[in-house]
Amino acid sequence: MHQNTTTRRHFLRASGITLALPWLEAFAGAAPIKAAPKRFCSIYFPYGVSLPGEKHQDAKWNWFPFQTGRDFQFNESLKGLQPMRDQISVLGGLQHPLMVGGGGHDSADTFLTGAALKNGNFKNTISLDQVMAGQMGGETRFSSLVLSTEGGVGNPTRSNTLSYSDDGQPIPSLNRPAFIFERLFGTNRDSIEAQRKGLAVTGSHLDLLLDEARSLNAKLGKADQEKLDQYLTSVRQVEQQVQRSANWLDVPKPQVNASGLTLDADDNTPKELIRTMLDLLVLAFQTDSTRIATYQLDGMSGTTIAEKFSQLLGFGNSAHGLAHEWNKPGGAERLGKWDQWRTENLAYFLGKLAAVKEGAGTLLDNTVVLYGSSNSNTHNNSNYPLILAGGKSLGFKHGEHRRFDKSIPLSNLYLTLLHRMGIERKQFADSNGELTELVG
Amino acid sequence: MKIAAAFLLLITTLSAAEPAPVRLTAFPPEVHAVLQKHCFACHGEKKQKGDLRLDTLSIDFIKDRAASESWHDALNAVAAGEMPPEKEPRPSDIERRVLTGWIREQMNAALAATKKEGADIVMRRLNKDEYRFTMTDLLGVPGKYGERLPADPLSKEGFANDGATLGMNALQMEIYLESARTALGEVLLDGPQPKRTESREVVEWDQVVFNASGLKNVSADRILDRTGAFVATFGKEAAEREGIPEAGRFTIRVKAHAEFKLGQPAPIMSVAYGCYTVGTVLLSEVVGTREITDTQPRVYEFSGLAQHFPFAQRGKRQMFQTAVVTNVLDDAAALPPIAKETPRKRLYEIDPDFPHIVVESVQFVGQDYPQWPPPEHRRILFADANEGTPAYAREVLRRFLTRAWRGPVSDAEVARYHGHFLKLSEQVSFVAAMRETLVVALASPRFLYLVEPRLKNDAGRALDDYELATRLSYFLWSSMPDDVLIGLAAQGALREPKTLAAQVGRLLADPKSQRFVEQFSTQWLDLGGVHRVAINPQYYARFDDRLKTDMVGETRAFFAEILRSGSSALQFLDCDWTMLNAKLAKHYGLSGPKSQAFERVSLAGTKRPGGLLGHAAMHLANSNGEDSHPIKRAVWIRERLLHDPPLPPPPNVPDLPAENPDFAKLSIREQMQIHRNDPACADCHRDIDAWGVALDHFDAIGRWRDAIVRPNGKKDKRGNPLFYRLPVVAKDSLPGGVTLDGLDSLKAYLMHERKDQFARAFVTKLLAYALGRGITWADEVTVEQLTRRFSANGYKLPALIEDIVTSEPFLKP
Repeated sequence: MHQNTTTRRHFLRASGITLALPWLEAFAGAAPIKAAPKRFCSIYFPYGVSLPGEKHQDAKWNWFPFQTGRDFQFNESLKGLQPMRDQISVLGGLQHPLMVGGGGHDSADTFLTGAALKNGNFKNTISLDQVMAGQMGGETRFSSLVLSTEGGVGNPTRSNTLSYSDDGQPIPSLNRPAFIFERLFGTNRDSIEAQRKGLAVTGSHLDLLLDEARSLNAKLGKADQEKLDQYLTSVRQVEQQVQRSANWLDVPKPQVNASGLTLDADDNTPKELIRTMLDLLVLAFQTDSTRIATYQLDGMSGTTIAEKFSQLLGFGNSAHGLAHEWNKPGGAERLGKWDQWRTENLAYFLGKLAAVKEGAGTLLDNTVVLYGSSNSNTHNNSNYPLILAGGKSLGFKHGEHRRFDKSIPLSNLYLTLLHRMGIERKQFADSNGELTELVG
Repeated sequence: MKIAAAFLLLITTLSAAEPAPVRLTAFPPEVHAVLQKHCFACHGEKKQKGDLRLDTLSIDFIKDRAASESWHDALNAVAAGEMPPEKEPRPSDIERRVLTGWIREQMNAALAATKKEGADIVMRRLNKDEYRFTMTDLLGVPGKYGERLPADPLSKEGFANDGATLGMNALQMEIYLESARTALGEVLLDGPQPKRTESREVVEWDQVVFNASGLKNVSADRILDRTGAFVATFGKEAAEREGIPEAGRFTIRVKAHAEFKLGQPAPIMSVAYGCYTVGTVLLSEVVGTREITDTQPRVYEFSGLAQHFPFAQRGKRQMFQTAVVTNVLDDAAALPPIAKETPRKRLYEIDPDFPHIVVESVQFVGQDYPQWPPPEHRRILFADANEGTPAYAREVLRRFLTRAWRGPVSDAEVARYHGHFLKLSEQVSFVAAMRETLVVALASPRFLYLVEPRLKNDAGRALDDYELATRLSYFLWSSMPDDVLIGLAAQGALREPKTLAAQVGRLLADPKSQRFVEQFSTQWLDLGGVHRVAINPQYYARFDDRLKTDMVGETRAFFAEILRSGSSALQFLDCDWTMLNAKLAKHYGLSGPKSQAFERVSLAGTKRPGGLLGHAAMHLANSNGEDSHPIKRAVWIRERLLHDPPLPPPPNVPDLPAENPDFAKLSIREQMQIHRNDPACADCHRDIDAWGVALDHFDAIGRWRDAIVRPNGKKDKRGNPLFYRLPVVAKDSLPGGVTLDGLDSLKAYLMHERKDQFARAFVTKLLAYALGRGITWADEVTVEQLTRRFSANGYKLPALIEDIVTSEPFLKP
């Protein structure tokens, strides 16, 4: 029973509780923002939501409001969004048609891609955020920020990331707040000249590695060549990052004080962990370190560490278990309460974005947030529960619960999002039109 | 081979993004007729039970591995009479033979073709643990190398070393570069030796005040019993502060002796180092621990690199460096009575009967390098008359690349690195340029992957001796081969069966084989599962989460004991002993062990069952944190012990007839009975449920129970939750009429009826781990041969490991 030494955690938490926004001590060196930047963030949760019918004794735990249009009433699960009702839309009836009938656990990978990951196809396609990052990423130090609870990439159909590159490769997600903070805001004690030299050296290293990999390639069979290709691609991407870092050397990183953040939060402290990740997203946007972000709260492998969050927080079962039991007696309420808790995190995030002034409006006005799941309820890849929030200055109008016809693919929303972000595209994935009614 | 033509027709339809138009003509008519009559109704266009659709399933057994595995499963199911299911019309023997004969023919043809083309070989990246172990062994300094790497994906069978599953991405590359740079910066030291400093010898623990989250259990003495701590602060005086560097090797010297009685375990000293802020907290990390057996005073040294430990901020007057010495011997007994308590600290009475350490003094030594440059530096930049010359640099590189890349390197490769070195050394010192050059070597595919190059024209070649040495050491050490293995490879002697067998023995006897024990047992049995379940304190108010680690420890130690004693692996299913430490023994209501070390404990005459199915780690990982979870436990048994996982759940799990308000009051078994009354669920669940129900006498934290206890949602006057009780029923039937009632009957059934299946399953799992790839039907012959010998050899693990290492798949790329 010895607990004689204090961990770093205690220290950080002890000193971090009282401080909140503003975290920014100075904005030294940041270029003045001309037009307000356009930003996009998507947050995903697994296994869908509680959906008891209107006559059900626990009807109030239905995630979707029972009325559509402007005069809808929030049920319990989304009540946390009441204060920002005018900043959000509840969207129902949408899905990626190609995943309907696919494995119920398989659709997290395609939430932002719309690809058909079924019948033995494990090749994904580019995700919405990466289309944006490809076009707009050059404007910021980081082209995008990809987060999750698990970290890394996971396996196809059980991935730990929402983001996929243009050739359908998963982009690894970051999951440790301290690491993310350091990447975003950590400063290097070396002089800029020394750093430039360091980057040049790294660049020459990468050339050597590419040479070497190419000569190795000649000796390999096909399966190995595919593996080596991944390696080569990774090296080239690091090369681009090095180039990017060099371009950004003269712009000092924003100075951000970590003391308001619980950077040591981990999977044993889910609330602190999720809120810290959301804080980091706000900070990344606020400092214009990136304009594109994704955050997978949990995947659907059934063996994630985030499975236990609902247990730790007193909701009585794992996330997967709660979702499975929603139609058992009392289950609609139990899952509904978990839905409600998750919504409160979204409300927290939107509230933080709305609290930061930017130009004539707020950070939320310049950021469009897509929150949702690729299951309506367990294992059901249709009627995704979705919230679209913010982005007023991008033209989005809110305050409605909209239901869409089955014939409308979710990709139509994505195409509209791309257009509002200022990206010209005729199609995204299987889109066959746009959702112009969301724009006013 | 009339089928071959039909094959080709299908190859063009393999792109799976769009469901391909169905080419029914691809099946020979007689096969198609059988499929049509017996299979397509459930595995066709309308329904895809078990997520399987046969009418459009590729029949390209060579290129579409997943499809060929599905056909192989179908073959087994039909051959075993499991498909079509009992309630459906039975196919005639002729129909059965037509179908199975056709699938076998395809498999054999594919097998013959695969032998020629070699489809299975995949370059395998070091996983996160292998990377850490390899860096540790290569540099000769243990460290947290690659700590920031994302977790690796597991293969379908749960292994973390499957080449096909392990990918690469930019983030990883970035971390490899950064990690190598940091590591080499700590090993290759430039410049003159820094000045060694010694602090005063601290002979009395410092009077410091701790807050609620800090050090609570402080005895005002130099006796370290259950709760005592000796705290020494350094650098309060400016002069001493100078001698406490922020980076570099330091040593904490503790002069102490042990006092304990005959038959008691020796106390265990733990030394932590860090910084302390007056009035707030102590921030420290453990430098090392060791058992103290000497009853005469001696000096014990604990060394580390200062940059890895918390350091007081400069200029803050109230921050000091601190060493904390404690006794971490844990006999799981309750703490002694509190002698004195204030809001800020709590003093316990000294427990004179507890094995303790008496500390005489603690001293800090800064920049403590007994040799300069240190030996790990010399291991790379070896002492030589030509030191600093280009020729010397070339030799340094040749030696390092040979070790890091686990085999000989060509002159051209050395020249490439030498050229890079020369360019870098124009700008920086020799050592700095070498450091940077070696960073590249540690980010090279030759280091990060196990490469066994194989072109089409050398199909069927054997591994060369270096590749063999590498496979062997990654199998049993999760790391690079040592000098002995490389030496044998250089002589070309390793593949000699006797040598190979002797090396297996040597590797297993080496402490590094503990990595194999931990890696394999954790992945095979999914021991990490305990950390994915949170125990609900409403149900288990006194459960301490740290016990999860001890539970995993039991299963790992159990695996190690079976391996090292060379006794039968059937003990995984049944035996009358386990491995316990004091905490876990207490949890199980047993006695014996007196410390945190695991020891073999006989279970004869106790209620505790032997074998993996009696281990709390298995019970907890397959619970929902409140109650047992029979389905998870069943899936675990079938997947991990029998290598026969049930099919995944269907895309849309049908609703249960849940309007019964008393549903929650039913036992899980009764809930499952309702589940099974629904025909849509019954198909799968009749062969799942009973396996897990049999374990229902074990609650979510692995304790025996006679009743299921659940809160009824009400509270008593004092606000404590009230519970109701349900009787445990651990009885259920498997298809075919076998009734299982409790763990004993399950174990007896496994030992008598499923022994061969378990043996084959274990062989398959170990072979998959040894090869770093999934096992397919193409390995069937190897698996059968290994299993036969495994059984003939009394199921001994060392013999099985030897057989695997000398089997054909292990010796060929």
